[in-house]
Amino acid sequence: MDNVLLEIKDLSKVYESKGVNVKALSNINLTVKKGETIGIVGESGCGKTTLGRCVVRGIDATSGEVLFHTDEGVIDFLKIKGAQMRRYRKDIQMIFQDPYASLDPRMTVFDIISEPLRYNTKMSNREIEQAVDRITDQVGLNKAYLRRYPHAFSGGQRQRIGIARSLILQPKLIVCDEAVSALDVSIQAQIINLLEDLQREYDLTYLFISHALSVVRHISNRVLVMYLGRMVELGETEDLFRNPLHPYTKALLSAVPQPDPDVTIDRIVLEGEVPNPANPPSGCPFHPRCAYATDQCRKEMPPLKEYDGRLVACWNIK
Amino acid sequence: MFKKKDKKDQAQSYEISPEHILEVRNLNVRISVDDYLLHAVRGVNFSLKKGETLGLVGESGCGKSVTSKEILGINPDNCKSEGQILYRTKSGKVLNLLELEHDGATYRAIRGSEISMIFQEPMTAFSPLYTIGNQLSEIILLHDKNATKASARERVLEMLRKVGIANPEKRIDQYPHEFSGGMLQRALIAMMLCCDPDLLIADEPTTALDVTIQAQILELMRSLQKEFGMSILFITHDLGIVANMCDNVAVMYLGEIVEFGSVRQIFHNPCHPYTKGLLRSLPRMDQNRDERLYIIDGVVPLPVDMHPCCGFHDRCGECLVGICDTQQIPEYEAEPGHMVRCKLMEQGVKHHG
Repeated sequence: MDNVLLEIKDLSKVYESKGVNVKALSNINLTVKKGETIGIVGESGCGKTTLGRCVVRGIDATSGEVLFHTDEGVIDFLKIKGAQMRRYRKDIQMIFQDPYASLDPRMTVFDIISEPLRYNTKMSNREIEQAVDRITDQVGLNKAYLRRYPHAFSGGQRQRIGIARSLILQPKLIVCDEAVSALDVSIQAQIINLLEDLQREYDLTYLFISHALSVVRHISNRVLVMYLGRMVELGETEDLFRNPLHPYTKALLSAVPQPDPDVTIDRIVLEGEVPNPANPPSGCPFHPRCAYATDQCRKEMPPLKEYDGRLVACWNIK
Repeated sequence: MFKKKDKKDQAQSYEISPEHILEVRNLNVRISVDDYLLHAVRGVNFSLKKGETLGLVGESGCGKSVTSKEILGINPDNCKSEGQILYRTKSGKVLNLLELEHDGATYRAIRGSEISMIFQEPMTAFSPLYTIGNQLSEIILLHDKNATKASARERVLEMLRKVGIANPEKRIDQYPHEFSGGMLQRALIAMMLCCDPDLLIADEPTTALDVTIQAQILELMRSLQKEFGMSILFITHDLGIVANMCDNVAVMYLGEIVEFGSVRQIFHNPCHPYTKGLLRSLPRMDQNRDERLYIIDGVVPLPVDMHPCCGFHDRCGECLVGICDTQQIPEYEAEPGHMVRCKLMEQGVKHHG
């Protein structure tokens, strides 16, 4: 397959706490094409952040592979070490949710943005300055403010600083973990448009993790729905939002309040909450909240199967 | 501890429209921070009918939370307020809440019992040191002099059941950390129900929750409002929730209400450039995905050293130079009940470009 950038194969993560194993991620399989944006949605505790962190190796996955397609061939990003690690880590960057917590308050904006260059390249000060100049222009930051500290900036400006920092090494893949969730509506639109512009310009690939479904619909080419560490549904954005197949996807989409008082949707209000991942239900993890659960759902885990170009894990879809 | 007497209580009697429970008149709040003065709320007027839900929307720093906290008298001491907040108590008397001592007996009797509030983060609204039952019955014991520990516990159980907490007999003796976020928000709603308030201030009550849990909580609030008939002041930045929950909407920007109307007027016929921009910048589920999002340029300025002007003038694409940036903009009526604070509404004023 050409044009593939990333292949996630059977990725699992088990957290051990007080002798209890919590399976945060179970057998995630995902192939990401170059220049694509994959939206990853689900409720708190569904494993979407864990997935993102495993991909950047912020945490170590328990098993599985993250195959990264580079010009020099395919490498397993989870196994590389030392010099090789330093070399390829540049290609995968992350943008965080909280622009207040993700910037060091004691560093100037210039230092924050240029720090990756100092560690990863042998650029001279002059070259570093030029690179920072270029990137601040691109993300819409005022150069006059580069010597200031993060506290002097608003949330939207800080998120631009975070984006500049993640872009400065010219990565191929960016994991955006709730990158616009903490921002106000008008600022959120600015950042979304910026992310789209940058993607076009640098041929970036995004893993866009978010619980804001309307934002995910806007920005993603494909969407992965997760529940309790598992893949529930994966498909093209348009298809998935127009005709969700899995009952969980249906409920999730119907729960989004629409900004129009005359739109009435048949809201599926789910009973109960996400079960404790330390003690997951038998069979399909969604069955205790599912209106269509059968005996089979209660006993056996549904496999991820393809229906009309969509991957769905549900026994009731024929 | 509760000995403090009100000096100013019953100073003057006020009149408000018989169907209203709350009227806020020309409210101004100034906050002194370090060496400057923030004019956080600038001449806000609105009223709330019995059983009505009013949405107060706007972005961070627009003054929506300061306004709501002023009603409850819980703003810190560095906030100075002017104007009137007229509230009709359960006994039918109309009080100007701004005249009451924040920690006086009258305000304490109203706060929590007649006007109640639920907060954005249920996780921080409870003390981690006491059980849920303890914290809920405290309210009843404080406000109802005839209540005993046993009767309060009965009432707490009843309320926990009402808000859909399963197995309340067990849950009542648990601590907040044993509850999930959604369950804690339910418990917080139960707490506010304990005293059967007439006015509920809900400050971003579902922002910290997942969408499916949010749907549950909104559903619950709707049914409880039907049952108890309380008025709700719903503060949120989520226009989707406003469209689903509110009867009327006040859009705030930089401490002012820039547009006020029924939920249909605001969503189907937005008139203020800020409201229009806000609605257009939302990614919508029914929108073409290739369309770029509309952007309101710039950021919200700090309300320091405000001279008379439209607060939105420097971000507005239709700003009338020489008018919007130098004059206090009055309110215009776009249609009955639909108020817009924008010069463009004036007859004969031409659009530039």
